[in-house]
Amino acid sequence: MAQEKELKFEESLKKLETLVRELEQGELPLETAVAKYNEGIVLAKRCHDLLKQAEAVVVKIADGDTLQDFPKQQE
Amino acid sequence: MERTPITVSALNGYLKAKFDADRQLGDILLKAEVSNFKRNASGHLYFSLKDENSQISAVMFSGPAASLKFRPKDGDRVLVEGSVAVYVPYGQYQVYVRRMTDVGKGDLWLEFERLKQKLELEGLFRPERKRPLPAFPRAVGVVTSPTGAAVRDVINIIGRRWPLSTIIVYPAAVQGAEAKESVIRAIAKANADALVDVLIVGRGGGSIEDLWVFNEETVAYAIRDSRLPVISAVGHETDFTISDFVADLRAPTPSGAAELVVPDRRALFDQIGALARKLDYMLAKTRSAARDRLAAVESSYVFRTPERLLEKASVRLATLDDRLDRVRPDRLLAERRTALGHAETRMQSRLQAILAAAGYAFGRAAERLELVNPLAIMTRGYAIVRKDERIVRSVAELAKDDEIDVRLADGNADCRVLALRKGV
Repeated sequence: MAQEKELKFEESLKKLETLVRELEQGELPLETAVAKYNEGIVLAKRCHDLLKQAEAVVVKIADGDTLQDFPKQQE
Repeated sequence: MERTPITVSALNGYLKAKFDADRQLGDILLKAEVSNFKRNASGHLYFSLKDENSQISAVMFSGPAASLKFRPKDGDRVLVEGSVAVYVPYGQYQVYVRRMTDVGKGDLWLEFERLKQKLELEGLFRPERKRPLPAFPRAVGVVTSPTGAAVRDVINIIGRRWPLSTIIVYPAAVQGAEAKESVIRAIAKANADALVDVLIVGRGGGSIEDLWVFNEETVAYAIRDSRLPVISAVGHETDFTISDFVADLRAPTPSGAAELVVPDRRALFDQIGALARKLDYMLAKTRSAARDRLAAVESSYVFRTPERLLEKASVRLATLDDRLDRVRPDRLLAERRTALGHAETRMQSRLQAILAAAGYAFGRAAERLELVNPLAIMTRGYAIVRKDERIVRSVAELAKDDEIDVRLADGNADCRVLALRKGV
């Protein structure tokens, strides 16, 4: 799950950067610009949300052939 | 011919320049014995290096001295790395020591140098071997002791910077007899599992003996053979290990590796914010360009042919409306409402102007419409019969006693069917 989220983040960010670049090159018809803008705003929000959502990092330990939860830090 | 005398300062300055230009003197490796050892108040070390027949002054400043792994004293056999230069005020040349190892403890440093040269010749340190690290690793592997402070540091820092990634700890002994095999096994296991995108291999700081596993030849090969990119993270700022040279990236400490391996999401928040602002700006720019074009068109062609505008303007207005409907990001909503208002106001006033101008065309159109207006026909005596709100066109659609509505030019009559006769 963390992996899917992460992948989505990287893809979304890349796409967002592409959209901004396309808009910056200018000379787009208004409709296209508006459509790209809308897509961009959605992506920016998604990136932002993905970053915000992640709260605690998942830590595992390779124990023989299995993955166990890594024991939480003792205060 | 008269010779011009030079000053002592000039002479010593000249000698210093000569020394400094000499490649050999810039980087020397010296085997010697320490004598006359003194440490001054600011932590600089002053001593002589000597053998049976000769000696030379030496200084080790507090900076490099801080990384010494032993407390030097007279009589110590040492290996010294540094440069030879002239101290101008005294006209004295001396060794400026960058690092010094106690040879008495076993020739670890010589072994280090031997292995470093060997592996360098084999090409293990070549820059083109270094692989790029993933920008946004989905999972980070950590080969280290599962109980040390290092692993906690890595977890804390990655957790703070980039909690989107998973951490998998591949436990390994990082000192002692079994350390070598243990580290090699953990690196191999991480590669076999292929669950992570990048590996951090290391441990916290310690003495040169403590860190020795990361100077082992077989560990160097294990890092070279890793398909996963490796960040070496052996805790000690100033000392390099063989692992540092082989790894794709060297971090001075495990914490440093955690900082390097993942981006900081706070910086990304900013980056995304900047991209969003750019989007806003670009859209505003595109829209104002479109507005200018629209204005240009309206003020020329359209004014001269008002009838065409009537169609065009309403189509435009509808399209504009439609577009504005589709564009509703919160931040621009207000701005766009204003824009829509302006557009509508402009359209409206144009339309009124045009409507006045096109009054004649309108009048003719109205007359034509009148001809086909059903009400106009009914004034000539026709009626419309409806049953249940539907127009009745045939007696077949009716039955006796049906209630029907008969519409005449000036009103309606509610009727009931008394009888039905087919044909006229």
